[in-house]
Parts: sequence; C-alpha cells; structure tokens
Amino acid sequence: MKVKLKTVRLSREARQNMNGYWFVLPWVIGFLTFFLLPMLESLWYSFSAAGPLDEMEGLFSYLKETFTGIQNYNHVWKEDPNFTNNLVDSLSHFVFFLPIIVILSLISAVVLNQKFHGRMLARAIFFLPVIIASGVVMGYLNGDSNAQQLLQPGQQNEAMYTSFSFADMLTNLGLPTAVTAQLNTYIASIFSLVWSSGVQTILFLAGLQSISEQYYEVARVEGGTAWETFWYVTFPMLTNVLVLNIIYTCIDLFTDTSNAVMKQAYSLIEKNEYNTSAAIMWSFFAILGTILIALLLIFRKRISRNSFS
Amino acid sequence: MNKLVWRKSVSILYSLFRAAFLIGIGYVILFPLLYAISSSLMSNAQLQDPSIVWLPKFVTLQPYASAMSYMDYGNTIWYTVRIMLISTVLQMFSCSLAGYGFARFEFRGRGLLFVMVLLTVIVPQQLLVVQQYSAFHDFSLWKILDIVRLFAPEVENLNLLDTEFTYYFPAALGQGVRAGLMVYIFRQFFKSLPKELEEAAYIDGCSSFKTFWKIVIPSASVAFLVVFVLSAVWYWNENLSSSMFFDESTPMALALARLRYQVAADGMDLSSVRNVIMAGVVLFVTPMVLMYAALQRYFIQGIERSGLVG
Repeated sequence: MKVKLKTVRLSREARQNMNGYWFVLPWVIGFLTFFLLPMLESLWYSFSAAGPLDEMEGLFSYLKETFTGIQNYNHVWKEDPNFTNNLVDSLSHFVFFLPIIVILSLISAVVLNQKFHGRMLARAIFFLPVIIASGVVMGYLNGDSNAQQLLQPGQQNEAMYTSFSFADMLTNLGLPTAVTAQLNTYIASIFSLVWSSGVQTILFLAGLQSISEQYYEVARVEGGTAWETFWYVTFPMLTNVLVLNIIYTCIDLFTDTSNAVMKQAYSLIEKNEYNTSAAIMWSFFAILGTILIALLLIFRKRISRNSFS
Repeated sequence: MNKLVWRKSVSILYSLFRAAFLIGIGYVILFPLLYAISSSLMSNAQLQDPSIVWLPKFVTLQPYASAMSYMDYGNTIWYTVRIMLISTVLQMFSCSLAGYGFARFEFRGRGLLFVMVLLTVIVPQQLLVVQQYSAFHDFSLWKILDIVRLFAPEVENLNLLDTEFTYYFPAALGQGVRAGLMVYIFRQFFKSLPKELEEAAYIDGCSSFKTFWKIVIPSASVAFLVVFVLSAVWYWNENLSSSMFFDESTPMALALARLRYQVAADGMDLSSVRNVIMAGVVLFVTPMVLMYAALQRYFIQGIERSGLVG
C-alpha cells in the first residue's frame, strides 16, 4: 500500500514572505490598541448610555445595563433639530467646496509646473497654508473662534475688498440674482478655499511631474495646441491623482473642525454627553463612508491598479 | 500671418492671466499673515485707531512680550520641539517598517490590512479621542502591569495623561498623526525601488531586517525627508489631541489656544487685544515656517521624485 507522506515545507520564498508579518506587527499592535478598540467603544457609546469612566463590574452585565438601542440616534435625527440643520449646512458647504477646491488646486498645480521667473517663490508661498493651517491658527486668522469672535465673521474677507465691491460690480452686470448670490458665496469663501487646497496642489504637482516628456513630444510632433495637449495628454494621465484628491478633499471637508456638525459633536463632548455625540459622529461618518464608496465605484475603472493593490 | 498673430496674442493673454492668478492667490494667502504681523506690532491704542490699517505709526514689541509671558514661550517651545522630534522619529521608524512590509512581502491578509491602514486615514480623530483619553487614564501596558500587580500589589496602572507618552506610544506603533498616510507614502516609495540591491543582500546572507536597516533605509532618504517634514509640521500643529490629553504641560498648540482665554481672564476686552493674539500666532507659526524654508527645496524635490502619485 502506498502511504503518502505530506511534509509541509515552505519554499524559501514563502518563508521570506512570512517575515512581512514581523514588519507590520508594531503597526498592528498600535492599530488594535489605539484605533480599533477606541472605535468600537465609540460605536458602543452611540448605542448605549455608557460613559468613558464608568466602573465596570463585569463585562456582560455592563453591556446589558447600558444598552439603549437606537435611542440616541432617534434623539439626534428626529427630536433634536440642531443636528439636521447642521447636517444640511455641512453637506451644502461640502457640495459647493469640493469641485472648487479640486479645480483650483489643479489650475494652481498646472501654473506652478510651468517655468517662469519667481517660480520657486510662488511655490513656497502656495505651500505655506499646509505648514501653517492648524486649527488654532485658522480659528484666530479667520475670526471663527468658538466662544468669542476676534473679528466679526466675514470681516476678514470684507477687509480684503474694501477698495472695491465685487458684489456691486456683479449686480451691475445684470446677471440673474441666483447667479450673483452663488458667486458671492464663493467669493466670500475665497480665503477658506485657498487655504484648504494646499495639499491637493502638492499632489497634483507631483502627478504632473510624473508625466513623462515623451507624451508631450508626441503631442508637439502631431501639432497639438496647448489646450488640446492639456485635455488629451495631461488630464488623462492625472486620473489617479484626481481621484485621490477628490477623496482627500471629501475627508478633509468632513473632518474639518469648523464644520457645523463636528462643532456640535465636540460641544457635546465638553458637556459630557458622550452618547449623543457618538451617535452624531457615527451618523455623519456613515454618510461620508457612503459618499466615498460611491466615488470609488464610479471611478473604479479609471484607477490604475498600482496605487492600491 | 493671421495664425501667428493669434498665437502670439493668446500667449500674451495667458501670461497676463497667469500673473493675475498668481498674484490673486498669493494675496489671499499672504493677506492674513501680513495682517497678523502688522497687528502684532501695534500698541493697544493704535489698534483702536481707525485711521491706521496697515502700517503702524510706530512699532512696539510689547504684544510679543505679553504673548511670550502668557504662553511661557521658552519652556513651551522646548517642550514642543522635544515632543515633536521624538514622535516624528518614532513615527518614521514604525511607518517605514510597516510600509516595507506591505511593499515587499506577500503574506496572507496583506490586502485587508492595507485597507485598514487607509481606514485609519479616513476615520477622524474626533471619533477616537474620548476613548483614547480614558485608555490613557488607566493604562495597564497591555495587561502587563496587571500581571506585575499579582506580585507587587502596590503597582498601579499608569496614568499617561498630561505626559508626552500620550504621543510616543501611538507614534512608536504606527498610530501617530496621519500615520496611515506615512505608511502609504513609504509603501509607494519602497515599491518603486529596484529589487536588485535587496536580492544581492539576501544572497549575501542578510536577514530581512538587516537588509531593511542597512540597504533599504539609506536608499530612502528622500522618503524619510518628506515624512519628516510632514510629520513634524503636523505634530507641531496638532490641536485636538493636545487640548484633550494635556493640561499642566503645554505643547505649543495648546498654549496658543489658551491664549485667548488667558487674555480674557485678565479682563481685557478681546477686540482690543488683537495685537497680543496675533503676536501669539506669529510666535507659533514662525518656527515651522523657518524649518520649511530651510528644507523646502529638498522637500519639493522629494515629492516630485518619490513616485508617490500614480
């Protein structure tokens, strides 16, 4: 009778690959301790009346006692008007800002990529917001402090245009009021727009630099104009970065501390109402998650594999 | 002839557009900073004076003196620099390890774990800080201290709050500020390195870690620089966790955030102490701007060369 002996011998390569586990081990430990565990706890808070410094007599009795089901979510969505108002504010803010930031940073990157006098200085200035934009600083510069206002809201922007009233000029042009109102919103937010596009400009710039010269040569030989070159050569090569920027901007806009919903959640934390706060945050991020998944699905054919696989 | 004229005028128009664009955006960026600097050099009386908008009639450093004393500038800057440097080094180490693991080794669950890495970038801190706070309050070193307590009952769990270790522990384990992004950067970079060097090292009998330490890290100075700059800046600017985890010892961001309340507590009307607050902002921002100015060229070259994107 033939006895088949199965010896498990990993090939050298497979053994080599096992070393990968060791390399990521510190990260995994950190992930479990400082990310996954807190996240699950936060999820628990949103479904219960638990607090962070509760005394735990026994795990299961604690879970049973504090569980309140979707009561927190009900309260936040149906009873408390603040959340829904803030949500509408945040989402409309998001829808306005996302395309403008992406387009603005694309234009900035294209301009900064060209050769002109003072290019280094221009780049340095454009990247300043990345270095400086801390929540504290932005709060002071924008006059948007929580408790008291150093400058009246919007005064910052108005001060920039004291010599020249854009709004008047637009109305005089005879455009329909809906359009001027929209443009006014955009103009008043220029400060915030420009200061939030720093990282995206860097990413686009890096993407532009990675486009090989050969493509441009072909375009030149074939007699393409600058406009055509942009749309047929540059833009398609930027698809990866474009998707990355859109996703990054989504996340940035949702997690920004001056966001109405996050402000509400944070003020609840300060009042020790952790559960409602958790419910608010999880609802908000469920929305963000849905948007991100939708984006990834829309763009899945266009993302070249090497970024994420 | 017509086409030439058209081309020439388009290119001139474009140069004008480009100049206008750059000046416009540059203005929006620089305006608040210049405004802050100018306000910070004015005395209280000048602030109120409506005829003075940009240039103070005489320059005074009094606001800076006030801001520095409120923020305890000497101690704070030393404390913050120390926290920032140590955390950044720890983070560079742990994230490069993870990045290399993801880049060069194909192990089971790699894809899923990397998705988790991206998840840490997406989920915001606000969701986690409260729980992290209570974890730090009663930290048992992953139950090690619980075991130690069996033998030496007086040993208590660590309360890490208000110490720099609230930053060091996560940083050393790949959970520092925006660490997921750093892991991504390292992974992309390591993937773009040619494998020959590492293979040569293996043939010569190096272990994986030795190869990483002796061969890969030296070739990755560019990636390390980029990560260093980004990480240092983000740690310096870190607002949420510094206000949550610290109380007595104050990192710079916390000191600046408190400035507003300290000034108010001294009974000064806020609108008339803009100069002190702006001085505080300038004091906060300057070290990072200086560092950036020094490293700027290498940083930008690093981004361009590292094959980060696409």
